[in-house]
Amino acid sequence: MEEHELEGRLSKLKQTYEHLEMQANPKEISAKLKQEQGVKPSPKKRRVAWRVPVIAAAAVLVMFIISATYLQDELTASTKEEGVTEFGPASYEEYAESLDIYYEQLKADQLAKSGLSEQEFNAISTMRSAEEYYKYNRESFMKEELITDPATLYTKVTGEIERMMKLPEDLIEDVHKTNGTLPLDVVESGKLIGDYFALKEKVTIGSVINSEIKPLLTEEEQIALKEIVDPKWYPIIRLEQFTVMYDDVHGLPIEEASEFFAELEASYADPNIQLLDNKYQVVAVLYRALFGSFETEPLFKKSGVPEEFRKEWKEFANQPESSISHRIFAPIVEEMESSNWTSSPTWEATTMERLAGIVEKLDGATSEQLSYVGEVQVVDADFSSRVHELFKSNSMKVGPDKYADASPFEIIGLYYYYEELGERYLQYDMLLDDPNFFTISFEEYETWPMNEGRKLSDFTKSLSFVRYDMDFAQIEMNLTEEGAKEFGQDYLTFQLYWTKDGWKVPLMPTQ
Amino acid sequence: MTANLIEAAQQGDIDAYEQLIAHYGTTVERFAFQCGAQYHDVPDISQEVFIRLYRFLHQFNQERFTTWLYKVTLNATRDHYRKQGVERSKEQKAKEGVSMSHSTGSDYKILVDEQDRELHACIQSLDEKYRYPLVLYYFQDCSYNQIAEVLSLPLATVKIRIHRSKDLLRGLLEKGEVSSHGGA
Repeated sequence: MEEHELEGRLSKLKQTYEHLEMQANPKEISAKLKQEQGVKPSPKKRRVAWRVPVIAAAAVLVMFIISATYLQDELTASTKEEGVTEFGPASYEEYAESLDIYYEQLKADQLAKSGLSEQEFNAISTMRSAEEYYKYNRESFMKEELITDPATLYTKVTGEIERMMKLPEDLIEDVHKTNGTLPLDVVESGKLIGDYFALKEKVTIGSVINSEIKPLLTEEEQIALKEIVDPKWYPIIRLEQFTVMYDDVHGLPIEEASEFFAELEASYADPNIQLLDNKYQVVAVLYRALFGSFETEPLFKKSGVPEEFRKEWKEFANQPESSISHRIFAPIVEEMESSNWTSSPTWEATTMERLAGIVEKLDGATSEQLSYVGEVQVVDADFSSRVHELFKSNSMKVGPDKYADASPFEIIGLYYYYEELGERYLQYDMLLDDPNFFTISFEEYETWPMNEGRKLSDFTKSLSFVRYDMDFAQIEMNLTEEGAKEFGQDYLTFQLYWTKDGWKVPLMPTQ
Repeated sequence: MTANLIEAAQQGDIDAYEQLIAHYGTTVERFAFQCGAQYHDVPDISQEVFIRLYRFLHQFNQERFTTWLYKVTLNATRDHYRKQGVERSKEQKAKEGVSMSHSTGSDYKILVDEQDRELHACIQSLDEKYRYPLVLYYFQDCSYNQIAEVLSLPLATVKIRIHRSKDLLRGLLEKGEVSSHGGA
């Protein structure tokens, strides 16, 4: 089915949905509200200054905990029908109590299902993380300092706990529940994937409890383990949550998924476990470079490499021979150059799985060779490209919402790109127009002594950070070495505000 | 207008809130249906959404009201079926093979056109992590940023999920394996 055909059908269904009329009666709902006690909205509270850092700190802590399970983020927080305490309480304390009951029941269920002793169960890394996560969020309810409403947080937290406490058999069930295209049945794929995870976990438990694996494994399991996981990977496995790569294989046919696991695991050739993340990320980023960022218009189309990106491709190819970048890009660039950058059979055949295979060949690679050099270049080239694209597609448009889809990073990038072009009016158009903030006329802005000489290329997106807190975003935009010298600091901080027209830049009176 | 209504409702004006319900009710109900609610359950979910919203109304930022509305609707829809799940025995569920996202006969009285029914059924068969971004993007006209906010996901994840959801949808439609006929 062609893309436009699917889009057409979605559009047609949308029109059909629009004929649906409201069924509920507003008067009945408001009558019910009037009858109920304890559901009156509290008067709107004014946010006081001291609360902002407290909330921001809480947000950072939440982010820290969530980041520990970041790679699992794509997992489904599916609804758990059994052992769930229904909630409808209005008080924070009651939410905390519901969470206690939910956690205890879920833990009891999973413990029984796993067939492990409580000591063994508690030794599983994800179970420990789940307990910490539960305790942390329980405290959040008790402190009543939430950055979201408790009902939303409760659903999110219970979903997250459920996801973290999944056992291998739950994962298999998820795969089958969420992917109708699997060619194998539950039993077959269970053999491939379930045993793999189960054995890995037993290794983890063995490592943690006894520093000895054998007593926890049957003879058959030891044989299977030997076939699947080489002992040299144990240090990695011990650090890795067993669900960490789940999403990478999600959506692949099960045989490919299994091969992918094997390849990726085999690719961790360096016994230095600190390299694990780097290698994984380099593969992921290079894949993104090759296939774009899942945008409508990928950065690099398979039909050829646009002129403006050829330089980056050559740079990748010119990395040290043992580097991932070189291994991947050198043959592609060679073929591309010989076809005047129109095609490359190697590129055509490149998939995420193949990239994992390339990494596998990097036995003995050092951490320097596996540095982020490729990633930094790709991310920054991608960012620069997005800003240019945003400029091309929106600079001639009118209306305050023309950048509604742009991220805070892109807004800042575009702001400085306009500075570079001398487009002060377009820049002025990006400012927050709100009576509660400092505003000036365009005539005043034209002579406003700020940002002179700054440009988009002063920034390094790949090393920059954004932090969101409700309706504002704070960005620490990292400066390049040259930019840092010029500005006398390593990064610049920006704050943007979310409006109905997207992210806007407030003008600071001190600037 | 809605800003004034929200402000008034935040101060406890229930008549203003009633107007808000009338204004946003259709959006809530369509969204719940698109996300997997069965058509005959939609009024109950809608009621739950607006009761829940009222409870936390004081926390809402007016400019982002619709974002909150989507969040609360999603949670209420999930909770509605979670509750049903608790009440139904495991054996019964296995026998029925019913999940939150499966459509029933009443849904098909609403969707008259065969192609619409088929597409609706395919969308409902997607996992919620793919279904929700797709619905918000195509049927609720949300931007990527707004979807990221509603679903508490990174922007890149939203894009990836929409991309994948279309791939999955295309596969399902081509295979024609999802039944578009009524009945559980």
